[in-house]
Amino acid sequence: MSIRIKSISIVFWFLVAAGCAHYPVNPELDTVNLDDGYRYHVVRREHDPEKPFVILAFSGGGTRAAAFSFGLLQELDRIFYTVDGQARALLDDVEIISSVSGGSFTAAYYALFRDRFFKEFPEKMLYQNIEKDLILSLFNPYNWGRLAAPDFSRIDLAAEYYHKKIFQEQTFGDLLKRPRGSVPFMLLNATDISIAHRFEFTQDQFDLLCSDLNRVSIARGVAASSDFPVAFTPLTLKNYGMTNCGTLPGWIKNGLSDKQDNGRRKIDAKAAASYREKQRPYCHLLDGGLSDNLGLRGPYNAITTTDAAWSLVTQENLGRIKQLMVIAANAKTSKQHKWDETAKPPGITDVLGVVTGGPMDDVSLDSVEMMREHFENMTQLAQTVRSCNSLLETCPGQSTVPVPISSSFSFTELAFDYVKEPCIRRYLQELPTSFNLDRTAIRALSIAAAQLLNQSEAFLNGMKKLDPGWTPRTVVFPQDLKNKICTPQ
Amino acid sequence: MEFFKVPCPGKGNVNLDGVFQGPNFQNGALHVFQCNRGDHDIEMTCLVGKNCKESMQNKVVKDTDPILPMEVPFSCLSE
Repeated sequence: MSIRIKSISIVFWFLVAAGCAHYPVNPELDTVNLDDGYRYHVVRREHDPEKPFVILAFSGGGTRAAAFSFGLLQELDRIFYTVDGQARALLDDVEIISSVSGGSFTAAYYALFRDRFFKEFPEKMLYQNIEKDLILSLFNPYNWGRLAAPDFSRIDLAAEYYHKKIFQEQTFGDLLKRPRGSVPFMLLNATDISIAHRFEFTQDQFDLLCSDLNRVSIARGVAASSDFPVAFTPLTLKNYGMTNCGTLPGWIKNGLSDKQDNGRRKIDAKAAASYREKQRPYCHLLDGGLSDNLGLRGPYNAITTTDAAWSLVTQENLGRIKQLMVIAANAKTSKQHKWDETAKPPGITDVLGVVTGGPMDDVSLDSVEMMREHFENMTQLAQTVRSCNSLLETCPGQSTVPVPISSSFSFTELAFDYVKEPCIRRYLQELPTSFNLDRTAIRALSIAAAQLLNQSEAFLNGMKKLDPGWTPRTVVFPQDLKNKICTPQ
Repeated sequence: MEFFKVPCPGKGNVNLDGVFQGPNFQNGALHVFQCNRGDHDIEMTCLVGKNCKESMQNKVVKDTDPILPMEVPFSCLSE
């Protein structure tokens, strides 16, 4: 009898859980208000052109990426430069952090808890075995019922865990309670899989869905950004775009009708306009790495177009930028494979690794090259105008032409390939993509970021423009760490 | 990157695709604006006491350079 009651009770609670479980629905927005919500100009003050405009991009790569970007922030916290006799912290000049997947944990925690970030983040996230916790949650009978529900899935379970255990139940609205200008504007990047397009957790993006981001948890943004295919199910958002909450930004109409050979702009415009189509009452998101594993595409769009909601071209037109610094923490690995030593083809796991990781790496390489080329082109254009002016100055009565490109640019990519010590480089390149790394790896990643930043010629050049007297510090791997990493087991 | 300026006998503010880009004159000279290649709505609002003859122009901005930027002329009329 007792067993029967227990069985009925289990079935009852299973059904209750299955019936009640639903992912937290993103709320509707009545009317678009450009002066409210999680937007660049609401979060940040008008930029002072005397300070550099610093953008950080954090790549994907699980805890490896989170620790590497943590190391970058930690090093930036140590960097001061002097202007007119006053010391300034470079970390205070960070305007934007654009992140993907593992890097989104660091970006979000920093944006939420800047004052205690360096003390708390390692314990709260980096040293945690998140993988184990997520797997264990699947063995909880209460979750079996919930996961059987049509509107609740593994990614919602992960988002719940992040919400409670890491991000302390904070929402995007909570980010707006911080003093304006006190923390960088954060772009958590995911991928809208129906249109294979980048999706960012900003109110500008949510305006397209006529949804209010303020009441969405930070954890759902991070979960979408790190929603690795197959391991998790796609994260669902409700799209209210057909409710006519406001007109679309002006560039979209022009992008759609653009008759120029302008593929990217047209694709972006089509993607933005698609949220207002009746046949899209929902959208489904996966890992941001599927469309951009470096987090650089959003900044690139802002740096090269007036179409972005936080366009830096517009900022430059307004005379608000003189120096732009972009620093990308790229935690990409490059494993040495032995597949070609035998005739036997690689197994299914290896092939899946190539299928999921190969295109991501290729897109990341493109992003890095596009950013570099753009900066080189702009620097060359500015130099051409200056050369033209120096010729004009030799002609009596001729006036010079204005130099519209007032910014100087520097792009720094931190990647394991640039680590000089071979055994450390190989160690970092072989680290797995997981949410469970040991403390040795976390420490090595953090020191590597500091070392790479200080050794970067691009970063040094950028800093010299700010403060000609600035010198990088020498960062070395401590011997005890080297012993652990470099001694064959 | 593309470059344009907005010559007008009067001074005014320039909007591109509905977003404010700054005044057409800066430091006594026509300001050269930057934008991406393609179709854009260029709008000028004349300063107090004047009206713009053309409220908005849809232009294809392409193949420009910073030395001789594209010109998008406007004229301001007295109210």
